[in-house]
Amino acid sequence: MSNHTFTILLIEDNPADARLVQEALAENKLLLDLQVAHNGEQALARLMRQGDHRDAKLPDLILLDLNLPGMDGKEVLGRIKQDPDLKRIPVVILTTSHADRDIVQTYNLNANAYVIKPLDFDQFMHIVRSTTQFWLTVAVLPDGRVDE
Amino acid sequence: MERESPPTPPILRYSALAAVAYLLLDGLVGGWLDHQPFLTSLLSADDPQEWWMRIITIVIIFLFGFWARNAIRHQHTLLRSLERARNELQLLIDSASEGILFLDTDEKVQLANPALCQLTGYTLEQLQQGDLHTLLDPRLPDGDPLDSDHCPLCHLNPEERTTTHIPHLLLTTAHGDTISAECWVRPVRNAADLPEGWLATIIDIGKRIAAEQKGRELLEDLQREQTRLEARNEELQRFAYVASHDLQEPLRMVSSFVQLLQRRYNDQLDDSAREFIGFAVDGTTRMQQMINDLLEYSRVGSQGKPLKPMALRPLIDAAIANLQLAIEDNGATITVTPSDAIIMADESQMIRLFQNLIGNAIKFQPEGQRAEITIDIREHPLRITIRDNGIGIPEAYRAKVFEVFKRLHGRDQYKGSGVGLAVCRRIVMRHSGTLTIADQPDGQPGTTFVITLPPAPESPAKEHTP
Repeated sequence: MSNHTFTILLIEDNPADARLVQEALAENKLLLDLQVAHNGEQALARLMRQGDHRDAKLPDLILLDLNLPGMDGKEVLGRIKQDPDLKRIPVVILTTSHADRDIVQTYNLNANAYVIKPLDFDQFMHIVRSTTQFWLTVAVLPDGRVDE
Repeated sequence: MERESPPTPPILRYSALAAVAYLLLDGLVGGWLDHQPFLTSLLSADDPQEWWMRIITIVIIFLFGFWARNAIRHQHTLLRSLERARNELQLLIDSASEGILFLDTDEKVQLANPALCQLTGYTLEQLQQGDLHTLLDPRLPDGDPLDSDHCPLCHLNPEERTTTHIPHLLLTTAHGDTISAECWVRPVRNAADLPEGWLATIIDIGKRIAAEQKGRELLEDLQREQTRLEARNEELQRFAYVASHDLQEPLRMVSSFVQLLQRRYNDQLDDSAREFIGFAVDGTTRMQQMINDLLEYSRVGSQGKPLKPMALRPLIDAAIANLQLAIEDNGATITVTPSDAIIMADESQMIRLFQNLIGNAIKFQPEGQRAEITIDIREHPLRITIRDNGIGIPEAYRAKVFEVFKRLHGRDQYKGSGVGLAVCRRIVMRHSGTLTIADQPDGQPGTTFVITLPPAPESPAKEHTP
């Protein structure tokens, strides 16, 4: 497992936030390939392997911000969870929203976890690291190459 | 009004009645004795028995005369009181501020008092000579004319027995002006229960209608203003919420990257750079705290739950339980008077209120002093006082401490952003109560907060009794 490179797709429109996640993950001991999509359309094109993304590898984990320009996070989530090839990829919602409605709606759309970004820098770093660590090394995930 | 001729002087009536009585008795008694007129026989008789008879007869005549005199006197008194009543009635009708009109069954005006003449501008003669409906031209409030056969004022249904109230009728005066009138039409029947006519009372309600209109306009203005204020308030709350929520995002970036700088490049920085970064981090932390507090403050209005009846005491106990750590740290003692008062409250807000106030009482103490807090609950009306032995609040600042971000002490002395009491006041206001600071008894140190709350409409315990 230790020499396996994990691919994470971060769907986040704010480059500063994306960079912060990248910094947090850099302190991980895992071999990671962090891909960033700045909006929902870009993320879906990559996941559906359209256009330039024909040869893109499917991610092991998706980190999804809810507040996106254009197609919003819930719509992206819905599309992912309806796609037979994509629906088993764990999607972790990474957001600042405390709204009950957002929590209920995303779980109803089969989000795998809802994580609120802590305001405190150290806590943020810790949460991002531990969340990815859990999904990539603790939780056992289906191997994408094997069919049901 | 037609007047009767003055009554005949009593002495004449008395004499006339006495004469009639005499002639009657003379014929009767005379005939009964010996077919002789009584006066003649009375003068010529010499038999003592007859004398007795005659004396008795004279006494009877005297008694009869006495009775007749009393009867006449009584009748005279009656006539005089009738006259007085008639004068009083006339005075009443003449001086009434309401217009009074009496119409007979031919719909002719028999009586119109000065108030009515003044109201309509017509004289009694004009009203009597003309047709009332044509003169007054009654119309409905919207201006629609009334058919004379269906006019409730000028045409009476002979079957009608009850008073008809016409709340609003437009009438035309002799000067051509339109007036708003309220009328009562009362059928009048004689002793034989036959219709005699009807009595109409008319008042000018122009001023009242204008006042009502003005009142309605004022009320509408007020309601508009209230709606506008409510909308503005709601908008402000939404703004405060959205602003504070959205402000956190860029602030989080500033604070995070400054901390990242500090962490990543700490050994390459000199002391000044490290100090600057320290100030930047401190500033962002404080701002984050203020935004959080502002969010909490705005949530009192925007995220409050409906008020429900509940017991007061458990709310205070819950607040105390939430403060357990601070209470133990300080060694504070809290005494609460027993009470089974029921209030209308948003549970979590009410707990927050007591928690803030008791928390302040523990926090604002001279260094090393144990807090002594007394919570006193009085009912009818509900009044909760929270008294402590802390540093107190100077009188000049008693209003100011309830403002948002108002602090009386340096940040290094007592922590906090100064929102706690503003939140408290907002919570109390949402519960239609008041929160004030009272004087300390005998100038003792400390602070006394007084909360008044309206009573719950009914006890929930009674409500649930099957």
